[in-house]
Amino acid sequence: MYTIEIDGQTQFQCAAHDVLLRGGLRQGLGLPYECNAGGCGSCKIEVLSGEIENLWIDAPGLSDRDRRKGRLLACQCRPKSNCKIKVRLDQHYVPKTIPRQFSVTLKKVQQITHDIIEIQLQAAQPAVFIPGQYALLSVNQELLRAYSMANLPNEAGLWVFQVRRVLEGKMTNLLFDEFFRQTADIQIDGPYGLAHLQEQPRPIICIAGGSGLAPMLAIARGVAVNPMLKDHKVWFFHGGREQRDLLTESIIREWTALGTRLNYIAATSSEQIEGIRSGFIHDVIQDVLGDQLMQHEIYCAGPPVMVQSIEQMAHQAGIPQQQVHFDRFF
Amino acid sequence: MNIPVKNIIETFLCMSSKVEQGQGLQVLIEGYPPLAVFHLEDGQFYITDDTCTHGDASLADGEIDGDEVECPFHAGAFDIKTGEPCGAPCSIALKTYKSMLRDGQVFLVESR
Repeated sequence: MYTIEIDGQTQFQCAAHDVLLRGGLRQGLGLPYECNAGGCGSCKIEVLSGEIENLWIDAPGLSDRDRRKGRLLACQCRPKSNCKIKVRLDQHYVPKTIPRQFSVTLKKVQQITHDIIEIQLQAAQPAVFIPGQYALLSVNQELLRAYSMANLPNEAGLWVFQVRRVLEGKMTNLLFDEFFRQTADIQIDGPYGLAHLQEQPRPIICIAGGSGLAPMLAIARGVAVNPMLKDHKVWFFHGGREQRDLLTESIIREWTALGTRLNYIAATSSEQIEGIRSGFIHDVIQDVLGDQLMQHEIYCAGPPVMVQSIEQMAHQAGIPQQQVHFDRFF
Repeated sequence: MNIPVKNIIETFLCMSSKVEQGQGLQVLIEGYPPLAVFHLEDGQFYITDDTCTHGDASLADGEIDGDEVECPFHAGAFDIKTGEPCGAPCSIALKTYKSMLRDGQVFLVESR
């Protein structure tokens, strides 16, 4: 354990194998972050004294100017001694559930689209998180990737993730292979993320693309069971390149259990299918909702290009940032 | 015959002496979101939206580095002259406005 002093504010204990960001969050501190994976650039810090190991020197979250000014990403810094760092703590980032690391066992694997499998992992203790949050999955002590939970928090300790097949991806090679996954040592670290379900008065829009389906399912499922949101309607927009990237409407209806409160709209961007809208999902949303867009609480998850188009659309429509929820993954 | 006439609207924002070179100033006026007036090294005054497109931060409080302003929250950055994002986590461009300096006063100029 090393003592990390945050200049002029507080201090926390960080384990030698942990990174500064997660060490601080584990102690309930509001360290700013989004992706937890070196991409978004939200967790920049300056190290004023002490020694750290930088796990990813070329992380895209840092600009040349950041590097010139000696900034580092807290999600990529492992302490090698006691340190003093500079960062602006923010109440908004204080974890509602303290993230923890624990071992899980593989319970079930199920193919849900041509390139996405759903994996169910069993932990020894209850699964505590807010719908829309993600966890870091590590396999055999080496691979670390962020995946959103697709299910609801539960006493039974079940964590459900969706993993998309990536050509030559290391996680793909491990989890898509029956033998490797049965023998893998799998750990969960979480929950993380701020793009989770909010108890707001506005009706809800969920926008899912690719493996962004998991957190949007969780949000929709969360609306279905939350007494505070029992009258809320949900627009569920699901975008894919081709029809085989999508689930059927009946499966989404069954899984979200929202009944008549659900409006489901699918769109494909590079295939024309009868009964499915064609085009990019942000264009389809504007087409369907137009000026009503502003009155909604918006959640979205998917490929970076899609998320950025949605962010741009919301910004142009003048929707306050607080009404739009996503975590920037790259 | 209709001749299109454009109305040029000038809105007073602040005295130029209020914004030192290399600094920014937040200006709140009716009909606009919070604005930032930046006085850059080229001696010109530039106007942008003041609220960062990433988080709820005032860019007028940010550090100015050449033509760029760094958001005080997460050190994302924008090009003040074009509004383009130039440092993560910012990815959405900032709105910019035309400025005019007259008699030591900074105006925002818009044609409607």
